[in-house]
Amino acid sequence: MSEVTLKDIRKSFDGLEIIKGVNLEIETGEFVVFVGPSGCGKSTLLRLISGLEDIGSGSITIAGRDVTRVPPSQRGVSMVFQSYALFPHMSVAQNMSFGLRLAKVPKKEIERKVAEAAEVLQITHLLDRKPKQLSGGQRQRVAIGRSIIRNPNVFLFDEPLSNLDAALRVQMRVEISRLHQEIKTTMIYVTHDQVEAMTLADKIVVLNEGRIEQVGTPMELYRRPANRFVAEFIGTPKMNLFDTELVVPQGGSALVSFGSALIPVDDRVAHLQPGASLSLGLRPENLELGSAADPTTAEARIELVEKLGGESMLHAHFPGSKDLFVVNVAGEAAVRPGETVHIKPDPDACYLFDGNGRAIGQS
Amino acid sequence: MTSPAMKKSRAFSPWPAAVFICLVVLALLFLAPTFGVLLAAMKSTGDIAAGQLWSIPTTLFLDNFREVLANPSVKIYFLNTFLVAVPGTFGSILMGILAGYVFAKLPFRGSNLLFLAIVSGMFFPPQIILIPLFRIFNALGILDTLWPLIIVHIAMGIPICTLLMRNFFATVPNALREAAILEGANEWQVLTRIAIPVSLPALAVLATLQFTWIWNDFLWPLIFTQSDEKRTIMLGLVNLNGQYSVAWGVQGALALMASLPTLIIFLFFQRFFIRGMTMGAVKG
Amino acid sequence: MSAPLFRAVTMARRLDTGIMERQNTIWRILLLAIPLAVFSIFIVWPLLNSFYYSFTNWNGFNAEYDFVGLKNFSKVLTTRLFTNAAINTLIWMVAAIVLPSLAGLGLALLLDSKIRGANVFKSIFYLPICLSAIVVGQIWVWIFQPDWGLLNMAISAISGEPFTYAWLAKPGSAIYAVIVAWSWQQTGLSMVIFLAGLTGIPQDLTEVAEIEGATRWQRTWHVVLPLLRPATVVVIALSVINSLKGFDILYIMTGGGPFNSSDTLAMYMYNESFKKYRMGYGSAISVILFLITLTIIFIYFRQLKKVDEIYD
Repeated sequence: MSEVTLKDIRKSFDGLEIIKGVNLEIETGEFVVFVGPSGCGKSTLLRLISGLEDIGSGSITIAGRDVTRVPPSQRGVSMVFQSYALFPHMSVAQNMSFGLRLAKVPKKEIERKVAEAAEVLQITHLLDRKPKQLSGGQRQRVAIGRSIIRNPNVFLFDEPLSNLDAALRVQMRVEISRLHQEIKTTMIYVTHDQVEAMTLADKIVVLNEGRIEQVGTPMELYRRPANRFVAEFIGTPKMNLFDTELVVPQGGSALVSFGSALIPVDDRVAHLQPGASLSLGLRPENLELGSAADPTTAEARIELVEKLGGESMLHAHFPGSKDLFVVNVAGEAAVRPGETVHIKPDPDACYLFDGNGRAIGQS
Repeated sequence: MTSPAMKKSRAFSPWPAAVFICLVVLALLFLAPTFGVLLAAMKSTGDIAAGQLWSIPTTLFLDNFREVLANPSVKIYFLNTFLVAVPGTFGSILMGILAGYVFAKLPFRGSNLLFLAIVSGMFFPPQIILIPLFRIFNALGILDTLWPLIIVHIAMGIPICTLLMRNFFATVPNALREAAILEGANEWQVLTRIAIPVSLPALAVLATLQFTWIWNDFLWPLIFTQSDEKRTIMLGLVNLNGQYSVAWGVQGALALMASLPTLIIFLFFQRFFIRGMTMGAVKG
Repeated sequence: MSAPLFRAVTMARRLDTGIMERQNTIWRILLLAIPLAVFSIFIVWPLLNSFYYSFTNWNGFNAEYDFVGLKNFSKVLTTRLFTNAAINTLIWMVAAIVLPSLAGLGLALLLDSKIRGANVFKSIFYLPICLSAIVVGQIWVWIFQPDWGLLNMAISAISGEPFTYAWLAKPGSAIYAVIVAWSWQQTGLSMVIFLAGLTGIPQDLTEVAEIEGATRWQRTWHVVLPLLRPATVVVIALSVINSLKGFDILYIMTGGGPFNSSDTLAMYMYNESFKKYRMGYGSAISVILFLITLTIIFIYFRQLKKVDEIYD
């Protein structure tokens, strides 16, 4: 059964449409990540689900109930804010129990629930402190604790890790993941960081300019991006994209150009006219250095070599072009900037996108 | 007060010493008038008449203060002023809290314009509305009571209180309000349980400012009260100065005592006071 | 005043999906109702009434009065007393820009150089602002007292001859004496605003200038003062606006005298309305006062916006 259903959600601010018709089903217990560049509408979408923002049109169903016109606190959602939004004048325990106290829940029960949630998050020793006396990670945990205590149907996270430093971010990522496995509640998590999305999500929703570009598991998005946008957005380092066109020699099978080389492409392009313009996508890890004698290699000039220890990133460009692309080679690359090399693409790992950026017949 | 820059060893510069001496001289000049009142308050009328006003007294002469304290009118003036200043301060701050919260956290189309219109109210000389207010209070039959003073101070305090409260509330993150709403709080609960407790320093600033202004006010009681039992301290001061026209020492003691509450506030809450003044001025 | 509120209500009605916005609108109305009502009844309505009375010959007591059209205004604008009060107000304004503002700037610059005991000095210069204008006035009446006032005693001591000029009783000097007293009180306020402006100047800017070889004087003149422009705009506007409000101190020091020589518009308005009970006439003066203030506020807001655009 789906826990959250969004039907044709639209939202405008000052006449500017920010969410342009979003349909989405989220299954019970799923960890869903909304990811996209800043301004794509992912946070707005989360706020629409929470009810903090009214939707322009469409409907929202949570746990089988139409909550489109239900106030935020009665939607069965709870939210962890980017800034944690802890009340500075209240202790940790008071922060966590704020909602219960408003609802006039008996004191005994409040105490029990606070103790339980604190136990899960290992913050029992912090209950009497004020937010100011806590570290970033501890504040994060208190914010999550305040969410847990309300026993919501859906957890909402609005970029909760972006205020933490890099090391802590990795640690908290692991903790959130563990928490999800433990309590198995539906979670919707907004981030602009695709690594967070890839590592946390059961399902990723890639948003761009107020629309959903693609929905799928992390590996689906990595292996079969629906379009150029997703292809470029998912995966580090970014996928290389080359503007190219379809070449069909007489009697031969279709080819696309990769620099000076031609790559055979299968019958997925059968419906296209020769000369049709395409984008060729190749991830850095699917390029390698080859020899000049190999006809499937393309000549390129190295511009920059980044040695990362275990692997090296070669930034190169084709002769006569200024556009850089990245080649990921294992170990310490034995090439220098300015050197001419020959790049061998993996023909089985190339992505093709049509003039509108849509993926062509990815297998 | 030494900055890192000053700790660096440097050649001796005469500059700080010169500035310091300059400031000491200016400070003495600035203090002289106030000090003069203190001196006068501690001298007998005879001494002052003999041209001894500005000399340092050799004995502690407190008759002037005794004279002031024994005057029954003075007690009434003080009481009246408290009866106006306390509700006036509370009332105007309450108005500021209500309006400031809306402008900071629930803006609507045209709210900036409305805010600007309200705030600009603090720039106008009160003479502009003197006559109509006189007429309104006359019609209500409350002239020569303390009510018009309380009402006017609440109304006239709205611009500055709204300005300061809006600016303070604006620094309270929106996420706090939203978190509270998600937890089931309504707007009133957000205001009373989150926004106000978080803004306690702002309330201290406003309370010191408003109390001082209302305490020191002269124009409104001048217009709205007539009988001696309804006078506030500043009006009473002017009145008593006529009574003690040659008793300069008593006048001095009276002026000091009339300034005492605001002086105490200034000494203890100077930080709040200055912050309020600059905020009110700079953000205006 | 309620037009935006009304608009908010109708807007909320149109959006029938917006539960949040509808609740917000209800709260806006609930929270704004009392302050707006108080403000409208006791500030806005009287202001409109002032305009109304300015076209009548109401005397303050009789229920009956007649409309006299623009007669009050034509009378006001042609009266020598009004011109006199207007000129005095202008003198006060100019003095307000020069005296407390410059003194405040000077003090702020001196205090900003991290001098020992800066906080004590600040308190001393700021102290007069918490005193009532009545008390300040009384203090300065003593200082200007002809026979044993501090000023004349000092002059006598320096010149060696008895000096008994009656500062407040001579038409030529009365208003200036009041302005000096007023400036003594206002200087602290200017100083504090300039100090706030000075702390807002990033230290690296002056340090860069120092590294570039600028002398202390050059740093102040070329770096600090230009960056103080926003504070200057505020101080000047405040001084001008406060000078229009100057009443209490004038009331106690001279009462507008001698022979109306120290009358300002605010004083003149009070005397006409509450001494001579010419309320219609007084209303005309307050309307003029309103228009002057409005003009100044308009210029001030425009300057503030301009400054904001450059410095923010």
